[in-house]
Amino acid sequence: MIKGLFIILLFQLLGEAIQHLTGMLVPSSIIGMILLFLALPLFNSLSNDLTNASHQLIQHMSLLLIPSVSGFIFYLLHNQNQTLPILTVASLGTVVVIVVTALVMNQLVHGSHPMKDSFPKDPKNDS
Amino acid sequence: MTLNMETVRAVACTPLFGLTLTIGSYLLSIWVFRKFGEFPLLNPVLTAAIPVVAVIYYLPIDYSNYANSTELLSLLLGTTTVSLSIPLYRHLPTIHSEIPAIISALLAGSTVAPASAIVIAWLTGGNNETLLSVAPKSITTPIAMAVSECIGGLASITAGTVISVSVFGAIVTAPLLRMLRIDNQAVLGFTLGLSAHGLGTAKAFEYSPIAGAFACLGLALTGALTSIAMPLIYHTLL
Repeated sequence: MIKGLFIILLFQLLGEAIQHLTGMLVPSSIIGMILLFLALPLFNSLSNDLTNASHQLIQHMSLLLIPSVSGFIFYLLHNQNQTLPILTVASLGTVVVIVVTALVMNQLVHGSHPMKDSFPKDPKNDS
Repeated sequence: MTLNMETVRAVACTPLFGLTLTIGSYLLSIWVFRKFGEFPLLNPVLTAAIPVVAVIYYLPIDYSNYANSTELLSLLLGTTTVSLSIPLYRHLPTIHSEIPAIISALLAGSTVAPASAIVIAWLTGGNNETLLSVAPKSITTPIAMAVSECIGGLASITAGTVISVSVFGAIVTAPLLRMLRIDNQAVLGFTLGLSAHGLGTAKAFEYSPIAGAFACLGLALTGALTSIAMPLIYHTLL
């Protein structure tokens, strides 16, 4: 896993360097993500290490988000007039996105994958 | 040695304190989540910060001290974003027959998401900072935060908004699709990934592997498209 983490960090650093050098507007972590995506075929021998490292990071994302989420809570405590817009966007806005996306995709999808083929499974927690 | 405010403050501002508090808070929230039968509103993604906020509130430090002492975690959030390319790469083969459907849904969903967010926030009295911060609400948290900073929003508002969206979307997507009489797991999965990112994807894997694969794809493609397009559009218009 540590080798996988090293490669991921290397690409994060590469993204950071490229953003600084070119002044690109795209976030540096996205540049790193796209470069790593393109380079992944080169790291076939390390694919277990990489999968492991990314799995660990993604699984504990809630931990990494705690500083930002607590910042959000403090922000809402100090700016209570922004609570309504933020929560309305989160609920109503999400319903709009779900309905539009599902209707468009349902018009064009070929394969039928009816819900009866799904299976009940132990819920996995955080992502 | 007497325990005075200055000593407490000095200890509470160290990275060691920040890190220990954060991990303890995380573990506590997971314990509570399991204890109450994994009730969705108690998901650690939403609740893990509450003990941290309570502790900071009662200690003689403020949020910025805590934010500085936990910079390492924010750095690793960027690492997590980079690592998202790995599951995306693995799920690539599942999709080639549905490319037209995926591209159309992707374009529709990732246009409507920021547009509706900005309009709704504006109508309900959001200030400029809020409008910019909620615009990337349909992308997975670490990417959304990076985009928000690029266009002049506040990363922590974005994080909170995206997480609320994720919890809400994961709960309502399947019932909404049932109301629309859509009975297709590829559609269900992609919609979950596009609208509710991380938690939506976890939820999709509970329905089936097909839904899960499409959810991963929805999450990753929306993140990639929006994070490239949004800063460019923002800086061209202004």
